Amino acid sequence: MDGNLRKPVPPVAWEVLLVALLAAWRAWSHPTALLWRDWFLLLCLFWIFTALCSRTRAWPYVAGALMGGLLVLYGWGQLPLTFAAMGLGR
Amino acid sequence: MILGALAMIAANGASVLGARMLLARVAVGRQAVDFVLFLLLRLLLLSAVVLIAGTAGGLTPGVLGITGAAAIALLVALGAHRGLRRPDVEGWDRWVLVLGALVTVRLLIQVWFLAPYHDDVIAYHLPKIVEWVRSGGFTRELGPDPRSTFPAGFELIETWWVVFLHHDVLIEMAGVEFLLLAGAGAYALAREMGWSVKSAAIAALFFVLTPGIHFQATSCFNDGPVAALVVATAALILARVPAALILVPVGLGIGIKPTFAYALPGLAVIAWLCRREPRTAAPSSRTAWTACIAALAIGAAWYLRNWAVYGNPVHPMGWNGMKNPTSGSMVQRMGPSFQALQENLSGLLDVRIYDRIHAPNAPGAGNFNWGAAAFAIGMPALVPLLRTEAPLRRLTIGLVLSMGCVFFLVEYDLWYTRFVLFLTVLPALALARLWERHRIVAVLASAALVSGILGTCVPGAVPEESLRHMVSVPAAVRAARPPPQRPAYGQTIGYLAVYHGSAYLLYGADYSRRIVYLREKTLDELLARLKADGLTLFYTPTGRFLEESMLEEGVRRGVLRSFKDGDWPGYEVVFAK
Repeated sequence: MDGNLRKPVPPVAWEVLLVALLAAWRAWSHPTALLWRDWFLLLCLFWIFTALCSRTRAWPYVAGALMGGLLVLYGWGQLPLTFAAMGLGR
Repeated sequence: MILGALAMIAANGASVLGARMLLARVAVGRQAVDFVLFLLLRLLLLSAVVLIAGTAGGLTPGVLGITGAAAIALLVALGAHRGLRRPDVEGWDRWVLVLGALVTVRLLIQVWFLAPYHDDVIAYHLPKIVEWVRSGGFTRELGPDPRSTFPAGFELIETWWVVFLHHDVLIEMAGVEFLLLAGAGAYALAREMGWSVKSAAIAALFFVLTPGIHFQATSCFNDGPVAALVVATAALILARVPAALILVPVGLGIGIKPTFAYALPGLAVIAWLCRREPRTAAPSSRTAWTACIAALAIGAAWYLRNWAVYGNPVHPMGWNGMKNPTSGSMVQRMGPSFQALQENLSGLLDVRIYDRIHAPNAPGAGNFNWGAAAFAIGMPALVPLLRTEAPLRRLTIGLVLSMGCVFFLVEYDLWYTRFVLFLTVLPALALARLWERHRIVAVLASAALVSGILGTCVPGAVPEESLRHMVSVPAAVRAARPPPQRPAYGQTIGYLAVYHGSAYLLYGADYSRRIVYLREKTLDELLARLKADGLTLFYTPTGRFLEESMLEEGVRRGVLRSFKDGDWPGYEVVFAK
């Protein structure tokens, strides 16, 4: 038998598979219209990207874009409440 | 007041020197871990002193102040003051130090201007403290709410900060002590993972500025202290210090709230995952075991008291948990529940993590209160680090398991996320690690830091009129809302002892008023009790409660007349003409 056929699956493949299953579960169990801003799903997709491309030049840019996007998403919901608690913006 | 302040300074000086002396016998030689141990030993000493003084009837400024002064003299004679030096902050970025100093000043301002305001705190956490301080020792009377018998480890530290001045203006300092421990724990975790001083300092800063952790410190809640102790325990486990020292925060934590015990399986897993790492020895194992036994005894004291007095260590919880006597809804559950786990997890992931129900707040109302830095920067930063950094992976596995255990054991309600605030140390650590590696992370995290600083200025979920009242009245009478005008100041107030209520506010900020709790179940018993205590009026909580029918009967019979004094509903006795 060819030795290559018995080569173990690389750990990164298992990692990607596991996180992809989590992402799929989330996408299946969550309303489709809200998926673009679902924190858990975005984090899963980022995990898959990191597992596959963490050593590429693109990684810091993608990470920065995700973090910036999440920062806007968080601020959009929370900052008006923070300002209201401080007596501002009403 | 001046003598009380002097006694407070003497007692605090003695506790610092005493903790330092104990530290010299158990220090492991690593600065960050030793600082965590020092803070834990000080908290252990304060707890032990209040517990012993309370039991012996010596819980007074005079006894504690004179004992403190004598202890200072003895400790100085033994050389405990030698080698005192300024904290070593070499390697800390200047901006971190400046920001840390500003946050500290702001924290002290918050301590000064905030009075206990949350329903749970004023209903069942704090009335027992007033009873203890007023009588100079532990009392059978713990307050009107059945939950007053819950473990009171945190109340021991709060008692320390009110007993000297006979006033609650500094009560929030107890939470500040644990916030310092939280920061020190995060710092030690980073250092034990081999990270730079700069990364560790940034992690500590972000963790302390986590809105939930920060507001817990000044709200008299005990969940922030539990989170701080979980993080401190994890730091000691990662540092592989002797088991006796790891059990010190465990004992203190169990004595503060059972949710600490719920988190223990995850901490045990961290210890198991680190089992092959080299151990760290303490110079004196006898001192370490003495501290361990003392901490476990302090933690167990509340459960033993409940067992002795009520025949149930977790009184008033039963095997079926605890229900709201008025609505019948489940307040606290007893034992695990897969449904609770599922509801708590989906509540966290679907709603709470977005922090968009309320402004950041202490009780955890609607939010996770983990802030922009954790949500947007810290958690994505954790992803690459989990793949490469084994110690962080072990810590994450353990703390996530702790969260799962807590969720398995607590009821899904509006506030449950405050039981897992320890989890927010993970994004704080990850953010700090990537801050040094990627400029884009540092830039975005700076924006999140601004959001964190803004979000921790004014606590959310507090009525606006309450905040306005607290900052507008002098510290001498500061309270979340004005007390009733009647009866005249100095006279005893009656209060119907039912589930929930605002009993603590009736004592006054200087604890000068005596409260008589009315637990009678029939109108005639109530009238007899009022007569025996010379009370002509009493107050009741707002909202619905079971005893309403008894009061309605009194009104119907013409022996009680309802009234309202400001926000305070009450009844006065109508005497026969």
